Amino acid sequence: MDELLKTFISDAQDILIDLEENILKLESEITKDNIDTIFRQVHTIKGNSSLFDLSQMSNLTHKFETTFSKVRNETLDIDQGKIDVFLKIIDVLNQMVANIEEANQYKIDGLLQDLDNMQNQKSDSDEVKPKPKKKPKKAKPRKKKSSKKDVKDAALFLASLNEELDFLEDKIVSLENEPEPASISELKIKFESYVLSATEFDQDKLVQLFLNLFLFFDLIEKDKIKIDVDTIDLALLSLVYVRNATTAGENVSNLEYNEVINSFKSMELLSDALVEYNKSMPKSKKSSTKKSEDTRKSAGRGKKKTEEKKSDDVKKKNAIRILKSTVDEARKLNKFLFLFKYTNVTELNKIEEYYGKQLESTIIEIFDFSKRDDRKICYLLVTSSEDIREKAALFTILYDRVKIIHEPDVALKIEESVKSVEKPELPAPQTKPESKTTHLKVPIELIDQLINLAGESIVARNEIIQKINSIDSPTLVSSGNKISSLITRLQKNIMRTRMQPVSVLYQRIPRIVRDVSKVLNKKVNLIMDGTDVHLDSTLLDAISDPIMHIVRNAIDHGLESQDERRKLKKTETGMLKIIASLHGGNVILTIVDDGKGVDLKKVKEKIIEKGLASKDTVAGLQDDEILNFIFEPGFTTTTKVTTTSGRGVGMDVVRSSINKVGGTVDIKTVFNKGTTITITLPQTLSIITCQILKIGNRRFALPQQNLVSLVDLEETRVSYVEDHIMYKFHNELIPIFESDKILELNDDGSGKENETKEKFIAVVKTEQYQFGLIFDDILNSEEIVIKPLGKHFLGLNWFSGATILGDGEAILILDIPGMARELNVRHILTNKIMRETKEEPSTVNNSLSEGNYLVFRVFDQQFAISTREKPKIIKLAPDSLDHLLAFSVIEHRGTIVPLFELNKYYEINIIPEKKQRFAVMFHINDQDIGIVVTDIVNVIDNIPPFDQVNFSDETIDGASLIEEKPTMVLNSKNLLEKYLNEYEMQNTAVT
Amino acid sequence: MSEKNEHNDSIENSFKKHFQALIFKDEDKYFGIDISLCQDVNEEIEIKSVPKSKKYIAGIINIRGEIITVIDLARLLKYKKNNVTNSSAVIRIKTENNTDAIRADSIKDIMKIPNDSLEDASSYLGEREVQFIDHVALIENNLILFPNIQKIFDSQEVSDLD
Repeated sequence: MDELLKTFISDAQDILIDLEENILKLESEITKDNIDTIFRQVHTIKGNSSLFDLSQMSNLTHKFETTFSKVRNETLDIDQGKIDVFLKIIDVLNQMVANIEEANQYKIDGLLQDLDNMQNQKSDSDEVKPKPKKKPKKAKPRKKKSSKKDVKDAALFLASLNEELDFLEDKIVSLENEPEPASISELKIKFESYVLSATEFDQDKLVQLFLNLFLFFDLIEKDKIKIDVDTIDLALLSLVYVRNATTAGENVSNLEYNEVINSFKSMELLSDALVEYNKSMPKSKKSSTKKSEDTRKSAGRGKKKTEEKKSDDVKKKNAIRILKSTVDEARKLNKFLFLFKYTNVTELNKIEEYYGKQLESTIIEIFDFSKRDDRKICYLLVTSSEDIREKAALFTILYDRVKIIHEPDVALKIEESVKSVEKPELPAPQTKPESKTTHLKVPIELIDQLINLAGESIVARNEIIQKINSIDSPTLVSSGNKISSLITRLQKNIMRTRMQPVSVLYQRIPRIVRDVSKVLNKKVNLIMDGTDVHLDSTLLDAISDPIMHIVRNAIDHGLESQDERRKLKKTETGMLKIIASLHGGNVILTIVDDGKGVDLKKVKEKIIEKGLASKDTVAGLQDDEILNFIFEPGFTTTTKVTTTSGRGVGMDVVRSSINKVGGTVDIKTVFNKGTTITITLPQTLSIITCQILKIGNRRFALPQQNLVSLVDLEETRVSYVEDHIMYKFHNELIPIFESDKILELNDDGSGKENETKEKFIAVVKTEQYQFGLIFDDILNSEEIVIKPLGKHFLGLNWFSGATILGDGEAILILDIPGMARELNVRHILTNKIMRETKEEPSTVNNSLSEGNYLVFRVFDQQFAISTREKPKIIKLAPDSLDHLLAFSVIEHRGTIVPLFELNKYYEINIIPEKKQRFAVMFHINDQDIGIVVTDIVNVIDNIPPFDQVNFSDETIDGASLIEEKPTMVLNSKNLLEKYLNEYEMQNTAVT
Repeated sequence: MSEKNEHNDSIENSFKKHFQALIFKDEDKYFGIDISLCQDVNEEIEIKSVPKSKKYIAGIINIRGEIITVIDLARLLKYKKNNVTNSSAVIRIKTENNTDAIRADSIKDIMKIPNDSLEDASSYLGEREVQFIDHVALIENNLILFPNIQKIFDSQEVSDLD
């Protein structure tokens, strides 16, 4: 593939992305700027594609452009349907560009038809405007059909023109009485558009006529021709001809036509002369009027052609010939302009040498026959600028002036090319040439190579610094430091070359939001923030699909339908917010919706249904742990599979692909309020800061981002829960692991002397958990280059890669989230809270599932009890307590349930005026049992740290302050089992 | 031509009479690898074991800034019982990224192996060995095993093994 085409492809892809974005903007707001931009973008693609052999692409873009020009003229309204078509076109164009070799084989008939329909729809409705541009001259795949169509269209055009004539006549007549500038320019524009459409249909005579009318009114507008009876007559006369032409076709007498044309010509020439005359004698108004009277006479009759006029005609023809050649030049120039966007200055000079001369000769020709302003431009062109770019720009301005006469299309093309050149490369003419190139296109392989080299040089630098430090030489150390800082800076800057703004990712989102919300018929207000946050382009690629998935999910599962939202008294339009921000070295992406949130009950049901966890386990899990199941493979809460979601291949892929690039995903949800998904990513890949740690005689790297703290191992803080070692860290019990044991390094022969040495704990974190790893020694912290482990280590969760230290040793990088999974930290932490629990078979309405502790009072004493047993509270009717021997009982759901009166068990003062109003019911060992309670205080998430040592009673976990009241924290299991035993023993003794 | 070959001799490379092989020793076995498949040999190199990885992986080494995975043939073929890895030679094999290598106790020689001395391994070796060893040759009273390099480094092929 040649270079130019490659450039075209990458350019076109960029443009298409912007284009899609701009078209989507039309949905919310239609601004002139935006429409102009879209028009320009479509045009650029069209222009560029026609340079290559991409007929289908240029056909499609051409029609797209024509249709859009109607939008621009405000003769075509934009609606949903049209935007759909536009987007479809962009999809096809994207495919074409991606598959450029086969671009001409794409079927675009359907889309072309859609565009046609769009245009026709317009001509049925509002006032008649020029028909869509067609290019019958251009070779089309289906010539017969298209030519037929053109004939039909031409007839339509003439018919519509005919209808307009009355209106035009009216306008012109009214000008005679009150010459309003507005209506003059309106007429001028009308005629201009007629010129364009007449050109489309090969109506040569009409073209000539309208062209003359246009120029005529142009002159009137510029006050070069006065409005009087004769001018009006002439205009009306030409309209008569138009009327004849439109009704009778081409069979109008040529004589009549020629007469009209000639009149125009003389009129124009005279006005030119008039202008010159006015200039030479600025003050003699009278004579000018006289002259204009002459003009009128000659114009009115039109037959009085003097010799002079004839020579003028020759001159004019000459000029047109020159202008025509200009158009050819312009075509070449267009190609040339496209070229020089991408070539360097020396090549440009070569082109200029060859091309510039030809150009200049043309310019000089034009110079001979041109109006004053144009002359000025010509002059500037030839003399002033050394810079070919400026020259080209000036040329375009000049060309601009003649574009109306010849091939407006080509003119536009040039305009586009120049515009795109102008921005980066044509600042004010005075500025220095160096500042003209601000961006370079560099192949990504080159950047990757640079990054690899930077990585290698970091390793080499670490190596050399180590060696330098071992030699006692201050000068060497200082040069070492110098080179070290240089390499660091070099590496940082090279890494920046791969950085891309998040906005690149954002560009894709509106389209997805639109498509999904349309299918689901939901209204979404998309807010995106933090576009200027940069991150590594590989990362951006890696998270692109996951983000799209989350966005789709948010709209599909998160946001409710409009009806539902109304019922919930929410705004009809759902909110979807995507925010990127920098936090430390991490990029945080949050995706927030204000939808219905995740229904935890549903999730629980699904977990059990899919067999992801047993009923028992599920009952004991915390909300955030339940939520985590969303990330399990095969999990979905929707019952039916839709096009948008429901296949259950989503969130697990999301998490794993984000984990793969070193990121984490977290989900938070509030039922009926919304869901927030937080993605945390490192800003760059491949180079990270790591803490080097020693286990035995081996070194390992621990990524800084996972490290919370490094602490000395203090024996007093160690405790055991079941078989796990727990450590009190900042008043929190975290599980800790002996690294040498979990990594099975025992047989490495590290020696026993370590046992007496003090050890360290690295407290590490994943997105959900904190845990500790015991190490023998802490070494330095280093910037390391991550090298992937080979394919043989697939499925090895303990390490995320390897790196080479300064001394050449290959060491492994610990994969903390992976370790958390392998070590089953979740399970340990769950157990810490749960210990052993038995699940209650049926959950009743008022059972307490939220919060971790129920706080209640028995008379004056406050108690807290864990709610993991799912106690439920029942109200005791007055005097409903019965007694069975020494035990209080009530009748509950048809059985006799023992009630535990804590005041009988612990020493509590009975306050007679307080009534025992509630019972907290438990189901334990297949038996119901209740605790009699006077007041229910609260349900709380966590209990402040409490002291375990002072209480030897196994029914009490400890004491704590809750809401500033001393509270006994009960061990429900021990307490109730103990009580039940007593109760049962009594019962069996009785029976 | 090919038909004739198949008829006379089922072994590939038969149009050449012999090939050069790198002979190395691991445990008490001799192995041979066609030298054209070898990238380089590094002797006296310390292999860093990777905890928790598959048993047949000896570990990783650093060769000029690249992390190379080293496979322990003797363990893959269950010739070795203990887990102690002595100082060893590492033969890097030409693969896609040149990141795979084989561990050896020692490098013995480079020998010319006549093609017609190669015999099908199945008549000499057990099932597990035949999975990875295609041919054997009896040279100077030593049985030399010629492993199938592709299969050894195909992580799919070996992933089911412990």
